[in-house]
Amino acid sequence: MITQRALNYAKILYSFGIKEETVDQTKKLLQNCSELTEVLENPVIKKKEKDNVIDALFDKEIASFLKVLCDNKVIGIFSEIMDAYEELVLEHKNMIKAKLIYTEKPEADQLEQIKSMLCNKYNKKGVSLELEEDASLIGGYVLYVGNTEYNKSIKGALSEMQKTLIGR
Amino acid sequence: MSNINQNDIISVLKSEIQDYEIKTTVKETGSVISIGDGIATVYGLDNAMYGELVEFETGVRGIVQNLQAKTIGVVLLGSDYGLTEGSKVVRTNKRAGVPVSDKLIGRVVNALGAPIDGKGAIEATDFFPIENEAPGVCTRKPVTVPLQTGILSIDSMFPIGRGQRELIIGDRQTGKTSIAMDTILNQKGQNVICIYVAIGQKASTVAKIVNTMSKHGALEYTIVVSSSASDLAPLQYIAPYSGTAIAEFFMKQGKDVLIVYDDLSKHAVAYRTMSLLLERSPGREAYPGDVFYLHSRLLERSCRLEEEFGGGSITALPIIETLAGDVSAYIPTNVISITDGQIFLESELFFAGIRPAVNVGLSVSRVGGAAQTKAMKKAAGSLRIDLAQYREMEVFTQFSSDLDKTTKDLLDHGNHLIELLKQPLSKPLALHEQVIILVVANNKLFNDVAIKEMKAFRSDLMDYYRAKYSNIIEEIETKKVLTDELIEQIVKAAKEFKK
Repeated sequence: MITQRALNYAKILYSFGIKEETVDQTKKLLQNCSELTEVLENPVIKKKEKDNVIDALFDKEIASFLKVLCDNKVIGIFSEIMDAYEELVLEHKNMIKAKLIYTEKPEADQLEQIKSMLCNKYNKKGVSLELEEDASLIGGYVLYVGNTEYNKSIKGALSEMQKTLIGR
Repeated sequence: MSNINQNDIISVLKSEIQDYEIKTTVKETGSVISIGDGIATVYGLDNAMYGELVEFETGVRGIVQNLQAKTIGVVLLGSDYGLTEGSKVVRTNKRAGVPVSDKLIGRVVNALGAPIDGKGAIEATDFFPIENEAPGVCTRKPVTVPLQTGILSIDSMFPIGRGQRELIIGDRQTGKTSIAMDTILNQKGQNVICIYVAIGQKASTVAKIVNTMSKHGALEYTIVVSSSASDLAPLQYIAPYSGTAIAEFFMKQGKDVLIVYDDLSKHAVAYRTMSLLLERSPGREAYPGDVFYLHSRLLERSCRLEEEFGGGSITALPIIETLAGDVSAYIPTNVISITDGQIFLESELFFAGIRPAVNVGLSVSRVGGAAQTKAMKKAAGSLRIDLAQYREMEVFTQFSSDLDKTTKDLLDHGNHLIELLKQPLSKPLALHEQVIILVVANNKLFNDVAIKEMKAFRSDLMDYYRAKYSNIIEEIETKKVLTDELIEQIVKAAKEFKK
């Protein structure tokens, strides 16, 4: 979930014009190293010490932003800020985010078809498609775009059929 | 059901499954971010409407109650078992409503219109939204047709008309539900459909009420909507709206409906629970700011429609329980101001044996006068004034030996009137009985009967009329007018009986 607070921080981060790779590296580092997040979140550890850690580990460009997050005690919502930031970047590039859940991985040309269909439908230039395999769908696929779910899986069809049969 | 063959069912199922067409379903989904106390906060569902039904992945449904920038607040209409953070929620694009049909009559249903009396499913012919706009000014007709409660003190002094909203208010154990029940029992053969909405009541109380109804044959024209104390607050909150939706279904067919909300104090409490959990600001007595609108929009739906718009009516009898007779509390004052009058019941009167314990001074019916039959209007003419004079003089009762004759007579007449207005439970009086009793009382023919013997005297007198003067009874019931000659006849017959 993206809160208004996370969105505000993301907007600031975006306005700095920091390279996407730097932001990406920072994100990965913080996500993979839970001890680091714990240290930065810990209120007992002094600001100076935290600043030293940040300076030592992160790129100069983003360090000051992280320090502000620590000062404002909001480093805990960093992943939310990242989600909001990614959305902002996509929006700026006139792209759309989608998630495809499948049972059998689609061929490259099929993926292209899906992408071009989405581009046309939502009037965007590109699609950032996340792929996930889920055998419980039995067959078919489920596509999420924003809040909308396109369900063409056997599992979905079965549950729809169940609803029709019991008249609910 | 027994004549349905097993093979038939299987073949129907098989063909249903074979013919089932697999379509790509497009749904708007959101996910639960927090859940507790029957309230779920859902992220996503940006296009959900206020009041829309949403479905959780366990099949439980909910109503959208709060729309915020990023999240929506949903009240659950069932158990939250199995729902966790991240559970999927789907829009249904439908507003909450109840299935309605003529087959609801005689049934006990829950707040969602599902049967709870174990008599099988109810086939629905239509679906009515629980929240509906009240009829406009041009579609309404003045209240002119009486709705007889069968209770002498009410029909004579605070008459209720079809399409009226009359509040029944009083402390606990003062006979509020009994008045509503007697009114329902008296609608037998009157072409009125009754709906009893129980909100936050004990299930045993509801069972008792249903029992009484079926014992007196009242269940044949009554629907009971029950949301008992153990139901979730959102269900208690929607129960009166569901009841009204059912009433509207019948009203639109041109039928007269009587709906009892028992009681709206508990309804307000359920709404307060829900509002506080939805983090809406508490106001006076911790009720939310829109608690007035909660009841006004409900009661505004009761009305009498013009013929061209269906011509039916909904008469509402909301019940409010006060604490220690305090009518100036928040909810009582609200509902008093919304309704077209109130019947105020007092514990003191109740325990003094005056039952129904109607306080004649504080009770009023704002439109009822127009909805009284001419016969009743004429017969009841001076009753209120006589009782008011009696109450004024009542304090002097202790000096009875020193009083002059006029005062003594006045007190005596008052005592007899009070005795006459006492009426046992489930014994509604017909129009002719009420009119005859009032005419005889106005002519002070009861005054020489000992108070203790009044009850027996009254019933013997009525038997006498039934046996010898059925023409009088017939004239009152058919013409509903009380001519001077008729009064003379009634008085003559009473005098004859006394000899």
